[in-house]
Amino acid sequence: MSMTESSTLMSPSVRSVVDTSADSTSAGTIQRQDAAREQEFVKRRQRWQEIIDRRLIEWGCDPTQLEEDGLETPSKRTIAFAIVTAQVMRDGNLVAPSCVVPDAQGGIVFERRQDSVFESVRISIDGIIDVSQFENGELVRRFQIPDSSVTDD
Amino acid sequence: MSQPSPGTEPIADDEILYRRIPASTGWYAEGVVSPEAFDPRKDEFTGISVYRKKHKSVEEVAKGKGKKGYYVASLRASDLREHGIEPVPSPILDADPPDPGHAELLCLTAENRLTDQALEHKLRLASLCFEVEGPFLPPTT
Repeated sequence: MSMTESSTLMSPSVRSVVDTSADSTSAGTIQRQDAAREQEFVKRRQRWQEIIDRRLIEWGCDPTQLEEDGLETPSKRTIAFAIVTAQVMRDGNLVAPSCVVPDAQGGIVFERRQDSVFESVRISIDGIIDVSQFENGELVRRFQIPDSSVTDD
Repeated sequence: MSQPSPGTEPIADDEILYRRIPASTGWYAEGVVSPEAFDPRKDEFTGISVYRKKHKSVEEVAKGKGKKGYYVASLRASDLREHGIEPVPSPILDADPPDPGHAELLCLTAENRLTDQALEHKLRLASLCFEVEGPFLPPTT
């Protein structure tokens, strides 16, 4: 996946745990920072894996659990594409979403909320990934990734 | 002089409007309403459906075919208007039984659902839900 744009949902870095001017270069401080980053990486990966295993793969095994009168159920193809997208984002160490939900027309949406920021990554039935970022309810960034650019290699 | 049909009168600012949320979707979870709860269905050509508390009880709104039942979110007409979202009466009088409580939010349709403004409206509506009741489970047979 071509992640040329950045957003909070897609933020790859973690702030330093220790940030003092007194000691920012000693081996001990650097080690603690590295350990904190590593811990954050592991947590993110675990959160992504939970989403992949407990939501997306389960939906893929039984899409009928999403069937609702009047709503388009995500197809197995869309679910599979969402799994690949999640795996790519997991492996890119991007921040995991707060939740994953279907939309009303067969798509799947990763949602993340943090304070005044809301982000969504929508996988539509046509394979387009639509990323939107909102601050205080206003759309501040939006871009799309066509499906041909997503690979799981 | 004939009386106006029920449900055709304008929606007052102090009216409460209901939005039905299928429990199976996860659109309401852990106290949070997802913007997708306001995503137009394919057949919502003219606007998304809401229901007027004045004409329809929350239990009636929650009736449906969903196997896992429904939540019902409440919104105030005045809050919607404050954010540029206009609810309009849309009673369904030729149904059996008639549904005078049906209303629509015209700003969200199956055609415009992915525009920038529609995405903002959906997020705004999710934030304006002041109460969610349920789940109302289907009757056991």
